[in-house]
Amino acid sequence: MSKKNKQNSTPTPAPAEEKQEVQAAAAETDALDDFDMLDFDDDPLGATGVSRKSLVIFFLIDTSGSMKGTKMGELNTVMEELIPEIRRVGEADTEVKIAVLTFSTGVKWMYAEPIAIEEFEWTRLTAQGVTSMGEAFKELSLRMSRNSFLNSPSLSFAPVIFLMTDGYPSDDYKEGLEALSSNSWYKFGLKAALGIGNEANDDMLAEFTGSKDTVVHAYSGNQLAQMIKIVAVTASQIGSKSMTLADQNEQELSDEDVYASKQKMLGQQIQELVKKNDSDDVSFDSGW
Amino acid sequence: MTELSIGQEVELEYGGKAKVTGIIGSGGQGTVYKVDYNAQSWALKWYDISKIKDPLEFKNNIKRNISDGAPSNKFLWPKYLTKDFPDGTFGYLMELKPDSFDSFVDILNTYRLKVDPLTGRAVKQPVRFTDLTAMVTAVINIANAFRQLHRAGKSYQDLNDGGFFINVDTGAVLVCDCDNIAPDGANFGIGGKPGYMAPEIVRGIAKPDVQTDKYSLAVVLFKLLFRGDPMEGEKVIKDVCLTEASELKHYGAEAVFVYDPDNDTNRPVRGIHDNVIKFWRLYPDYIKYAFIDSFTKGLNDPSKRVIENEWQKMFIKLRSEIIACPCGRKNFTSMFEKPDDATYKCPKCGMTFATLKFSNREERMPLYIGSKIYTCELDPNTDDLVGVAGELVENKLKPGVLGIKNVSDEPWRVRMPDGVYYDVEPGKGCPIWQGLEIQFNDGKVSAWI
Repeated sequence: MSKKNKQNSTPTPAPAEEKQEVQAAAAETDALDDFDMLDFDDDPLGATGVSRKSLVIFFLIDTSGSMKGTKMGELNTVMEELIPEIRRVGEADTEVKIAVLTFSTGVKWMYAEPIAIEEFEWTRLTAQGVTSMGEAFKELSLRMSRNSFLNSPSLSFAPVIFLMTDGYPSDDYKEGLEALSSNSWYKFGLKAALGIGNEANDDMLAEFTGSKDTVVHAYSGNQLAQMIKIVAVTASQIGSKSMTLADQNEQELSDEDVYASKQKMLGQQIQELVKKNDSDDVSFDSGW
Repeated sequence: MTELSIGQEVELEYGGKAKVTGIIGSGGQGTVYKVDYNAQSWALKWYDISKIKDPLEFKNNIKRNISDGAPSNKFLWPKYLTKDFPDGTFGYLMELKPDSFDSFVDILNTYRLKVDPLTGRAVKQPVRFTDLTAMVTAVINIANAFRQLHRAGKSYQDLNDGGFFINVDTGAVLVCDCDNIAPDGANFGIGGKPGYMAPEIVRGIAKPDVQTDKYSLAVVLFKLLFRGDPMEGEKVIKDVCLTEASELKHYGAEAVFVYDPDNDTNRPVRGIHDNVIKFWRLYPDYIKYAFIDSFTKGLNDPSKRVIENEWQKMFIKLRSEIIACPCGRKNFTSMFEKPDDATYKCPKCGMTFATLKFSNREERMPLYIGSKIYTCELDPNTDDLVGVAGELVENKLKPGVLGIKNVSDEPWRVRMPDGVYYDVEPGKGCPIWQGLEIQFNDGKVSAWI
């Protein structure tokens, strides 16, 4: 419990206007914090919660200057509304945590460590600066480690990583992506990306997610809200659950059969949902 | 998927309209809405038919289940089908879960989340069994529900922690998500949830049936009593990240029970699996052996899995071995001292408990205020597993004198302290004394001190 209080008391305000250093504190291992078991307490009803699997959802959000105005307003609003929705997804037998990394001229975590979804409060973001996506990839790779953000003592599902951007990286994203590619949490993670407006490059985003199916695009405020919800909810649903095996072929499954099956499922479901939500809203960039 | 909106009306197959009043939750196959129908509130399960392999076959199966009716009142069974929407989407009505029942998941988590609809803030409310008897009654009821289902020739298919509601005060059980229940041998596309699925389904070499239900049942029972995953120990934790391949391995071909006596590679890990470590030592051996058998021999040989009736008998026995000591300690006889064959002693306060020997049971039953003789212990053929026939009480007119009250509807034949046999009618009782003998059910079962 002590940890939760700590989490609540360390919200970092998020003025993206300032050039900020990365503030992620090294998360301490608290595996043994609650170690008051086996004190001759033998009440068969004296159970603590079943050890749950944990899932961290990473949001990588572009807060460069071009996001200013409607895009950022829409994004802030939808993220605020989204948290309670994802909470419902994760309340079953998985402990869902959220980490938000913003990138503009520098990169910055919204909170110093992933926060349990029940306690997560969205801090409104503001937009200014350039698009240091490569740096964001490097920072993510650094934190996606057993010694840092993924330090839950119990089992973890591979993380969900959701990238949102409206422009082309202003730094060398390839170098960042290379660093990320050697991280096995990234390799097994569920990756999705949202391109916002006409400048965002879907091919580049597909390089990040590994496939085009998990890249979606929003051209209007309404679409932006829809896409964020579709991707985030679907990814957390799939990410927080064990793989489902509906269609077997009466043949022993091998590692190859199940490799990245969740990522494939994510791609399929996102595409289905996106098709249904096609709308003819006016584009962000038109009608001025 | 066609989503419904609040206020929308859905026509039912045999007439009438159900009006959507709210959303209860979403699952892999669709969404459950709260609806009004015939001036009553119901739950409407509404399918995302794109997630169902053969919607028509699936619907016909539900139709058959509706006409067959529920195996017992322990099931939140489909009641009415809706008409199809133009795109083929459909759903069915079932009764709402009463508020007094908590989901199995919340019980395992030991809390439920209540979300303030205005702020979206979530508050944790504790969910715990209020009484040990209630918890053991819950496992009796779960085993019994699956026995009833299997006796009806059906299998549940997708047995997991989302499938039950339990009343934590009484141990009453409601099995929900009954829409995948199918005649044994048939499968309409559901696979299940790793951790609950039998290894052969995880591996992709079998489909859900009664035998795989038995595996899942053992997992559910283990989770409820030991509060942990029977296959999650050191070996699994070492993987850190649970990828699809590691799930396949640890819940499929290479599954190892955490207390496999012949394989200690997957023992529970302190700091993570403290519940399992703590509770494993509390339970009597016959319970532990049943789980060991289920998860070792029964792991890859479905015919070696413990059958529902055996679980039921074991848990009925376990319930009769609970002692509630006046000092507040409530535990199984396995956790009490036994100074002699006929006495139990509380290791905490030193209180001793006399016991009753039954003609049809091996173990003597401990006597304490509130201890109960259940109907099913006197009549092995009954399906009433919670009905009480006798209860140990204090005499209201002679404080300090303990006796057994006949709360059944049959008279007992009892040897009283004068050495003479009398009829003890329902509502009456008999004092406990050294020469006590009670004959139940026309002498078919008897008990003595």
